[in-house]
Amino acid sequence: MKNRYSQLGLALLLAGLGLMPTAYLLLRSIPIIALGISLVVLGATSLVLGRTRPRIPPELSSLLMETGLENVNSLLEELGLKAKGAYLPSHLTGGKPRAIIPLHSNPGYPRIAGPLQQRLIVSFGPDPEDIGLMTTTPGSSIAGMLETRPGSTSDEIATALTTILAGSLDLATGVAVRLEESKATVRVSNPRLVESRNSWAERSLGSPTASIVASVLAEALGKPVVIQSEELTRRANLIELEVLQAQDEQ
Amino acid sequence: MKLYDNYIIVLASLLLTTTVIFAVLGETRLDLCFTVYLIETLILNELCIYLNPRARRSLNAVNYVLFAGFLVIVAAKVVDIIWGYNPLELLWGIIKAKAAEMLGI
Repeated sequence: MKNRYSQLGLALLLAGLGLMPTAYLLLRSIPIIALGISLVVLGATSLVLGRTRPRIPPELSSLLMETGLENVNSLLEELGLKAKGAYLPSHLTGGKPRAIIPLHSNPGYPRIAGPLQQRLIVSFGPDPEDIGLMTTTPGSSIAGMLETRPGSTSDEIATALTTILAGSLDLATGVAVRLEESKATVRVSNPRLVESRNSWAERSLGSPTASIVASVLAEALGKPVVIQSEELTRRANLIELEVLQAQDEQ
Repeated sequence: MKLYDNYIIVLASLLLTTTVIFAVLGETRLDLCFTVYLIETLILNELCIYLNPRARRSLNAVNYVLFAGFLVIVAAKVVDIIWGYNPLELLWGIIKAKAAEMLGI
């Protein structure tokens, strides 16, 4: 048996299947037969929910995430990159959503016209200084968890984020999104990742939760997104993001 | 997994409350009980839009099985109306007689 949902489901299913004939043949009680039917329904539901849980232990997932973040952190520290990374939608990276960190801290953020090369160090603009480090972030694989690309309204983005953060990853209990012209404010209720590392990677790319939010927002709007600020408390994670203009809107 | 926990708790509460209400009202029609359970499960699944796609697909599979049970009940009722006998009651009667014979009741 894989997990507690499967165990609970099997127990309820067997109890219901045992209760029904017992109540029918021996007790002759219709309410207890109905209780048996309800136990079978509940058991079957719990059993199938148990089969949808990931097979990788949470400890291993945490270990892999820590390792990945440490590697990105070392890379950024070694290169001395302090600029904030811009999260790019998949149509600008030619694959899954990723983030680009400019090697030079220019006053403006990168303006990207077309799909970038699939490399670590890429040129994203016409100027020689427009070079950045394209990294995979915790939010990069998130797009695959959604059945369809989310729409560009705040409600659609909030639904997509809640499905991922509450339904799939169990990182929060709810998400609210407020969209303005070039700004977005996302409130993640009851976040589970509340420890701030204050590392190079976190200063550049934000916390793992903010990274997921930024990736989904970039994918939904089809525009690059930068995490402006992040306020982390036990009850909520308030993330402010800047939506960069696409090349054809300038 | 908070969302799964909440889903199971809500479904268990719904089914148990319905069972208690049926018991208090003295309802003896099992097909009605099953139909109400099915409707409650379907409504709850539709309300839980934040469940991940894999969980929703799996729950849909359970719904198909429950709905197949509902179709069997409807078919039995149709047979009862047209030919005057309920095949499910007939089946239960045979099972009961065989079980009573085996148990020596």
